[in-house]
Amino acid sequence: MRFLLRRLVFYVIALWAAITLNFLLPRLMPGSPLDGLIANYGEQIRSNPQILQQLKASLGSADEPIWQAYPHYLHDIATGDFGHSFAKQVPVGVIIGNTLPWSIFLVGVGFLLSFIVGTTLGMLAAWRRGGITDNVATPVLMTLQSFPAFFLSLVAVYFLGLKLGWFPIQHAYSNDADIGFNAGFAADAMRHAQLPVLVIIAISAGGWLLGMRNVMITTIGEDYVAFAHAKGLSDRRVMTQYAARNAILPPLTGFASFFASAVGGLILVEVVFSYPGVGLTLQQAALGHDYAVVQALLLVLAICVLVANFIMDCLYVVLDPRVRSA
Amino acid sequence: MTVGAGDLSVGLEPVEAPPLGGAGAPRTRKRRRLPEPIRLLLANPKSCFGIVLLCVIVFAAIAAPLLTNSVPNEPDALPRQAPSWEYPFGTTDQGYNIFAQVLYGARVSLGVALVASLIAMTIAITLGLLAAYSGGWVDDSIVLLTNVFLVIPILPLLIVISSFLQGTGPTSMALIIGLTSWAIETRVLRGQALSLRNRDFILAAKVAGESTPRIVFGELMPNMLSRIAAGFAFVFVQAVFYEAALEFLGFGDANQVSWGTTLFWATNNSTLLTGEWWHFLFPGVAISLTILAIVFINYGIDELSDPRLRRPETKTRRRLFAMLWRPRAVT
Repeated sequence: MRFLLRRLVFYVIALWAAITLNFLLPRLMPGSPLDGLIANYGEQIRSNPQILQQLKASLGSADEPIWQAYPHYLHDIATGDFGHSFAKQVPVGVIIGNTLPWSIFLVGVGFLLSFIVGTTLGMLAAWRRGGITDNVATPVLMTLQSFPAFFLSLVAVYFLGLKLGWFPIQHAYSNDADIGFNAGFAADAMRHAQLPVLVIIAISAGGWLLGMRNVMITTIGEDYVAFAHAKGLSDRRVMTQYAARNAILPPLTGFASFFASAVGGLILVEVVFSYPGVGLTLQQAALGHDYAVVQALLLVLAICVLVANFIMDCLYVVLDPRVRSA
Repeated sequence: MTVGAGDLSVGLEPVEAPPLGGAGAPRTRKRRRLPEPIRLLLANPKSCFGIVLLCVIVFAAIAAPLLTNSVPNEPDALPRQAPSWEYPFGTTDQGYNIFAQVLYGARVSLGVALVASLIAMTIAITLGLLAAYSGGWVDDSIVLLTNVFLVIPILPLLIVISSFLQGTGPTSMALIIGLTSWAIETRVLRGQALSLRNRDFILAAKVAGESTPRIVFGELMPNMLSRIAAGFAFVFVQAVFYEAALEFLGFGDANQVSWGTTLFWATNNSTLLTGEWWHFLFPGVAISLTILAIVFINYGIDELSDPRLRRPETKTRRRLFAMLWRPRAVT
């Protein structure tokens, strides 16, 4: 448990750093972000002096000095007050509530599947090195991995969606869908998620495969694997319960940096598919200089990465008894 | 002690064959040989493929004016033409020659990535080596900073910074990408430096009273060159990707010709729906090939430094290998 506690302390520090970075960024930038905002939404801002006041507080052009603004900002974040979106005329909290579930759905399904596919193929590739899996899956997934997410998405949309008509090409549900928790809507949403999820698997499974394969090649040479063979255990059992079980740990530790960069891929996939998640909203808010939304979404994404990492740490504790006893 | 080159040759059978790159040189015993790491990389089929591919791309970028007469951002053809002999990659909806856009775009895309990765690697080397060598609170704080940066998603951060900057050109883009993507390599380099810091030659330098910067950059760094080169390749791939992604998302200078902006215009004009596949396919392939080339080089570096990753040689492979390499070995 000390391991988890230590990780938790780190995540709190990282969260604080992310919040502070968010606070400092607009203040460090050359020029004033506020001017850009006034240029874009001048009328709205001028017609409502209260909004201008609020903006100055969050973007740093305020008369309020920085040592007063910072506690103020922390207080706002702690109470869940992310400000107001100009483009959409709603509190930022509402926007997060509407977009985050879609992203979590896409990422959850996509990364879970790519983890399963990647590690399983990696295991098989290492087990029979130079065999069919190793000769086909390894180069194919490694090649797919070098395609940038947006390019792969474009190709998938064009060839699989438009030309072949196998998948819907954009949005998370049909325009005429009856939004709510019913079977019809769930099926529609699933159908629209297929292609984005496929792209996410294509871009991220390669990393898991290679990580798993390379570590497992080492574990296969270990004495306990030879001993398991000598005991007369079935190949399958030695592969899954002995070699793979130990090989899976190092790739899992690499998860932190992997997930942080995978969030970038998610944004690109969402933009290409016009999928109404956090990524698409972030892009549009950033292009429209809707800073309240931009800052809040960066924070939301950072928190998601931290939470995902913590879940991985818990999984690590379950998988590796050495961590538990330490 | 040259661990740099020694690293690569661990467990490697002697390479009889001269490298492919040396094919043009006169075959005499006294010809000048390439530096050892490069020779080893050329002898590995995977990294050899990567190096050749990368050279072709860089050459195409440099020789752009020789390969096409078109100016990338001036219309010189009918719009929306499919690829033909005259316009190998087709034309855009404005009548720009996409072949010229891809060639000239390579200059900006590769240039930004190069500068960005130089910045990132400078930070990574400084922080990573300093942390490993100094230890104590310096190490602790650098490790904490690195770990924090590792969990902050970079592309969203870049998007937010670009949004605050209100328009980014190639220079500012190289700067912000470089300043945000050093964390992974810092951790890797620190790890390797840790394993070197208690070697005799470092201790000897310390006893001799050399200054910390002198030991870190004069003694430690030269012995990690192979790892630094691999790290540079990795960061370069990241930078190519981030630059293209930022421009694709609309945060670059849309009038500057680069791979990312060509893709940006392709989606902005919804060429997907009108069936102009060539508008997004060729710049995308260019980005992918660049990344692929470096991935293959890295793959080769991995195999050279860890012989266990190399495939066991089968009979056919050995025969094929012999067929391909033996005739060259006769000098």
